[in-house]
Parts: sequence; structure tokens; C-alpha cells
Amino acid sequence: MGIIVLGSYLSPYTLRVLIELEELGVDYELKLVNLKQGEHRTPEFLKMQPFGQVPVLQDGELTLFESRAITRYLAEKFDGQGTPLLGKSMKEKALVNQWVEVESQNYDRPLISIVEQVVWTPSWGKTTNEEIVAAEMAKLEKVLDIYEVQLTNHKYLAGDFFSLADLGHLPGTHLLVNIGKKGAIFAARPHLNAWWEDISSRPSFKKIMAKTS
Amino acid sequence: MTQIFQSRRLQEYCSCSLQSNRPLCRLNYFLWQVEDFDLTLVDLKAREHFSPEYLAMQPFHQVPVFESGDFRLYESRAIVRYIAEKYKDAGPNILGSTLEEKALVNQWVDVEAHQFNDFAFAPWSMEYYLSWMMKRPLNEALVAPLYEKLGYFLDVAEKHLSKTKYLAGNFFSMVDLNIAPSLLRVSVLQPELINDRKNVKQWYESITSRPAFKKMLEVDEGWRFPYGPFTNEEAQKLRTS
Repeated sequence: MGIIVLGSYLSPYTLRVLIELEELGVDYELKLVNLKQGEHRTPEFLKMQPFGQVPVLQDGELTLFESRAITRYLAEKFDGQGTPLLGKSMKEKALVNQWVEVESQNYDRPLISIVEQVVWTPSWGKTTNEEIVAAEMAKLEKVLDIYEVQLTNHKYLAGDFFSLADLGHLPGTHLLVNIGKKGAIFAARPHLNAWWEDISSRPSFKKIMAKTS
Repeated sequence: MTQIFQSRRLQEYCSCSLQSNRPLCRLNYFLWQVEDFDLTLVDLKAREHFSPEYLAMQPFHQVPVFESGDFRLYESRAIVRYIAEKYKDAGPNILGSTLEEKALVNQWVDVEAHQFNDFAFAPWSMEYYLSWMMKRPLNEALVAPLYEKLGYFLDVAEKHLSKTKYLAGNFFSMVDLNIAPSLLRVSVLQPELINDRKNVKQWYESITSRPAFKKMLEVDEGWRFPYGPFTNEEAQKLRTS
């Protein structure tokens, strides 16, 4: 029995894990969880993941949730196979961790608020709250200014190597830029834009995106 | 105001006041278990974290920042992971020993960060702090659903702690370390959340009676109360003192 991922193509957090599995060249089985029908809130699902969220990873006896915990586990387990994602030294690893936290705390929060308003809310037949979009865009742009400085001095976030920190940005940014049509804030920042063009041209990302359309 | 401890190698900028709701004292008390360091306090009220000097270190204007020689790191969880990795043979291994243990620690660290802190504890305790500081009534409509979420998280913890001694397993780990200062606040504000859950209460008493945790509280001049745990009546008295 190999790796099983329970998740949904609608969830950027599921996509993060799937993209990583492609980078590592690891086979897996995807069991789709129907979010629209509330499958993630059923008693059976809550037994596995008490907070009712996707993705969940099953690897033998281990059941694991929280997408960044899953991606760390996979990167460590398959270290030496596929793309190295964690950095080579303890200090490089620390910088990867720093930028994974930055993504989680500073980048993802405004991004998901915007995506919720401009992508998901219309798909539920409801009206976008433009005030929230404006406020969250302002927050995100301040963060992107900091990214622009970082990426002026380094090719990738944690240094001159592609890592878990960059990978983590892929699915959410895709939703924001390609689906939500908010790419102008990237185009206005040349180094940020170059970084986005680079990481979104990776075969792993393209392969998974092809499955979501 | 700055407090300096004798240091060998490490230097850390931190706002060490539980009143400021910065969950970074976890970092301090972990460090005390391992080695001495310089603590420089950053005055958030005076917006010192927006100064050009500080922004050059931490461009997101957040605390803490960790410096060791010319290596600089920010984001508290990244810092704790780095130190834990570096000193894993010198003190308790709070990251886990096997691949599976590490994965579960990471899972619970993220659960604490999102389900406990971001969605429940941080906005809930901030409302208490603001109502106290601005001398206005508590916004009950705001805290009531957050209180429910806290309760749900602690129900999950209660169930889990019937099987293991600590959150991620039978060893004290990074998640227990991270959550302890926040739970101390919970024990003052709404102690029944802890006291009414047998396993949570036992675990809470265990993680907040560790010497490093007590040492952290001794240093924090922003903390007005004794350590706890408190009964519901004691907490009521403290809140109205």
C-alpha cells in the first residue's frame, strides 16, 4: 500500500501536496473528497481530520493532516529522490522554514481572502465584497513589495535554490493571478514576476494544473 | 527598556510581554533550557519595529528576530525549529525522533497555529485585552463564536490526550511549548475551558510547571498575575482586581 492523498482539486492546499509529489517523483493515489457535498464534514471524515479540512495523507499506519506538515514529511521521507526541497545545510533549512512561515502567516492570509471573494464567492452564486478585496489587496501588495526586494537579491525565496518555500506559493498564486485575474500586482514588480514565471513553468505545476481544468 | 542577560553566542530581539499577546516567550523559555542569550526588548508601543534599522532585519516589522554571528532568522516557528535541531542532543528533543513523530509534531504545530491561534485564541484574547485597555465593555457578539471554537479545539485535545501524554505523542514537543503561554491566558480569562476538561487540565498543569516556563514568567514584567493554574473563582477575582 502506497501513499494516499484525500483531497480536492478545488483546494489549493491539496494541490500543494500533489505538486510536491510530482516534484519528488513519488507515486500516489488521490481519493477525491466532495467538498461541495460536504463530505469533509461527515462523521467518518471528522474521525480522520477533526477540523474537517483537506488534504489528509495516509502512508501505511500514519494519517497526517495540515498541508505544510504533509509537505515537510514527504520532503524529509523522500530526501535524495527527485527535486531537493529542504536546503542542504542547517542554515539553509532554517531559511526555507522561515519563508514557509512567511507564506503561511503573511502571504496566504490576504491571498485566500481575495481568492475567496473574487473566485469562490461568484462560484457560489453570491456577490463579491469589493471593500474586502480592496483592503486585502492593499495588505498583499505591501507583502509583495518585501518579496520584490528579497527576489532582487536571490533567485528564489530561501536562496539560490528552489525549495518547499517557493513550491508552497504555487497553487494559491495560480488562483489569484490566473483565475482571479489579479496578475497586474505581479507584473508591476519585475523580480517577483520573473520568479512567478519561473516557478509556474515547472513541469510538476503544469501537470497538476492540467488536471484541475 | 532593555534587559540584557549574559550571553555566549546568541542574540535575540523580542517583545517579551504576554500582555502584548506576542506568543514569542515560548521561544525564550525554550532557549533558557539550552543556553544563555542576550535579550533585547523591542518596544512595540513606540513602534520601534517600524524603524529603518529594525526593518532592515525583519522587513515584515514583526518580532522576534534571532541573530547568531552573522546568521539572522525570523518567524518564531522557524527559529524554534532551528534551535531545536541544533541542540537536539543537548536538551529535550521537541521535534520528535522518528520521521513519523516529526510529522505528527509538525501537524499539531500547524493545528495550534491555525485552528487554535489564528481562528480562535488570538482574536478572542485580543478583544479581552482591548476592552481592558480601552476601558470599554467586552464585545460579546465577537467573543461568543470564538469561545465556541476554542471549546471545540479543546474537545479535540481532550480526546487526544486520553491516548497520549502530550499533544503530539508521549513526549513534550514543540506544540506543547508553543501553546503553553496562550493557555496561561485562557486560564485567567475563562478557566473553565481548561478546568472542565480532565485531560486538558492535567496536561496544562504539566506543561506550565516546567522550570523554563516559570523562568520565562519571572522575566516578563508585563504579566501581572501569578502562574496559575487557577480555579474558576480565583480567575474571577484576578480579572476584577
